[in-house]
Amino acid sequence: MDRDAVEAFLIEEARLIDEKRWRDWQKLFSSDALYWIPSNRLDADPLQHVSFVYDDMELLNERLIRLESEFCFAQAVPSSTLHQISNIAIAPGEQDGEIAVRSNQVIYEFKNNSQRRLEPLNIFPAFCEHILRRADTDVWQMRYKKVGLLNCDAEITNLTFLL
Amino acid sequence: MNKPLDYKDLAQVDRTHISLYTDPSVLQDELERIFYRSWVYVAHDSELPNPGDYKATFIGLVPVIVSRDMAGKVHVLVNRCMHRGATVCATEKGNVKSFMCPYHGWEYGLDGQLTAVAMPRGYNPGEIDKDTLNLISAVRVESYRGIIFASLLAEPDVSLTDKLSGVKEYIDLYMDFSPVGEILVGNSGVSKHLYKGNWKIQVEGSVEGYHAPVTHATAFDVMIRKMGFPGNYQDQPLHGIDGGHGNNVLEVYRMPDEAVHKRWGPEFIDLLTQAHGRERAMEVLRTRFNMVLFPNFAILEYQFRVIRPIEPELTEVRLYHTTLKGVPAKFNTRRVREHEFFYGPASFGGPDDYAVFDRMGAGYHAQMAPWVYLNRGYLSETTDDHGRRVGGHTQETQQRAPYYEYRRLMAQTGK
Repeated sequence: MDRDAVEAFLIEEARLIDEKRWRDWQKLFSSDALYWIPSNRLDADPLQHVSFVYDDMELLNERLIRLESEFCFAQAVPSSTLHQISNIAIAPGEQDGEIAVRSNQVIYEFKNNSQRRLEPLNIFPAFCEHILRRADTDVWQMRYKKVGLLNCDAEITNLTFLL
Repeated sequence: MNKPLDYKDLAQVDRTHISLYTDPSVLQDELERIFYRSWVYVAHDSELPNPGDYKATFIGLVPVIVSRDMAGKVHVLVNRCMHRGATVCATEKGNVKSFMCPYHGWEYGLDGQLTAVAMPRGYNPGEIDKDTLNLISAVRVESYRGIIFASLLAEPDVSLTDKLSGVKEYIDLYMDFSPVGEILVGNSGVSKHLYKGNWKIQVEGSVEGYHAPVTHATAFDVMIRKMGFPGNYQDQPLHGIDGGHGNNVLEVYRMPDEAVHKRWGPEFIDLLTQAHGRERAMEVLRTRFNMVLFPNFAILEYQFRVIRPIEPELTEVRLYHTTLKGVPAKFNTRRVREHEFFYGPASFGGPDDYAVFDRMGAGYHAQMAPWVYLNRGYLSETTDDHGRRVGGHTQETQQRAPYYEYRRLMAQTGK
């Protein structure tokens, strides 16, 4: 997978989230994947420390069911997001057929709702790590996605949209 | 001049007035009469285990330092240089020998005593009396099972023992989840939230049994389907309990033995049985509750919850995750995962509460509908063997409870 292909993968992944095509985004993960958003410290051990998100694919599926339901009040109205991707660096993965990708992403989140009081545009700068694995000849999947928020230690009340 | 507010009219037994949630002068009275003159939670022992350890936090709007001196004694100090007012501690946690003001180098010991000022020769005789310039210390600092409470400006008219007497058994149950009876607080994570609403909304909401199947429909769905949670929530024989002095308890579930075995497994049950005896171990494992210690502290399943007013309609809530001492790491990992599922900004439960709190905050500006009702189950409320008010778990006994103490404290005037 060359640099252009990696960049295209990240852009496509972000586009699926930003266009709320969550089930297509879900298909980018391998079935044994981990989707992790650390809290308080980016290097905190997730086995000993609470995370914002620490989803295996079963829990991610439940998360999507929740978001699709009409009873996810934290997403009434739903957040809109915009991912801006930069600083992409590529390294060989630990296992054969895998590559490790680091990127910086800035995720903008906005709820357009005049019925809620002051809902500012939120900005979440993040250090992202992807481990991509070749699933088929030309198909790559995410075996691991970590979104390390710059402000992971801050007062954050609502991260119920997808990052 | 405005007529002074009569809090007995505004905080009635079965309803509260919206001005209690929006009026800046009410918050000012609450700070002076409740937060600065009665017992408030400040820290847990495990957050400052060693001499020199400190935690910087707040009592109401007042920045304070909870410090442990070289003799092991805990002090609660107002984090404000006595000279020109800068905070003398700028970080949340750490270990120091003293606190120094960055403006003029005034230095204070772990007990708050002023030990040095920079360039002392510039003061003429009579211009400075160092003995009167120690950091202001809370008048009372006491703890129960590692939970540290302080009273900032006045001796509370209720002892800590009396304050906790109606809920002590629940604190004991919480601690005895550990085979050595001890927990660690916050080492395993802190979830930090802000919402645009009054602090009392969270006090009420931490023991709310009525809203859960509605607000948390999506979480309940997973809990019933995947985690073996009972589906007949409304029909559970559970209670809300007024523990006195504003404290209260909501029973969330109470499992039969069979369910305890299924949920906790033989290894954990054996561990607790060896530590506490069979009967006590099962009592600990079958009971799950939420509890508020009025005004600013709650204990929920895997967390110490600290509620801090910032403005009348802006509140910070911190969830300090707790882990058990004396258990294999995997049991604490499970506590991490289960907490994460329901609580925290990206979880399946908590964010829906804060969305609702925001909406309550907005709704309280409809002045033509001035009352918030807390009367569910009022007419059927009974009293238990300990003299505590008791109602069904989806009724509002535990929401009414804080306001008995609220009325009592707010009737006093600050000095």
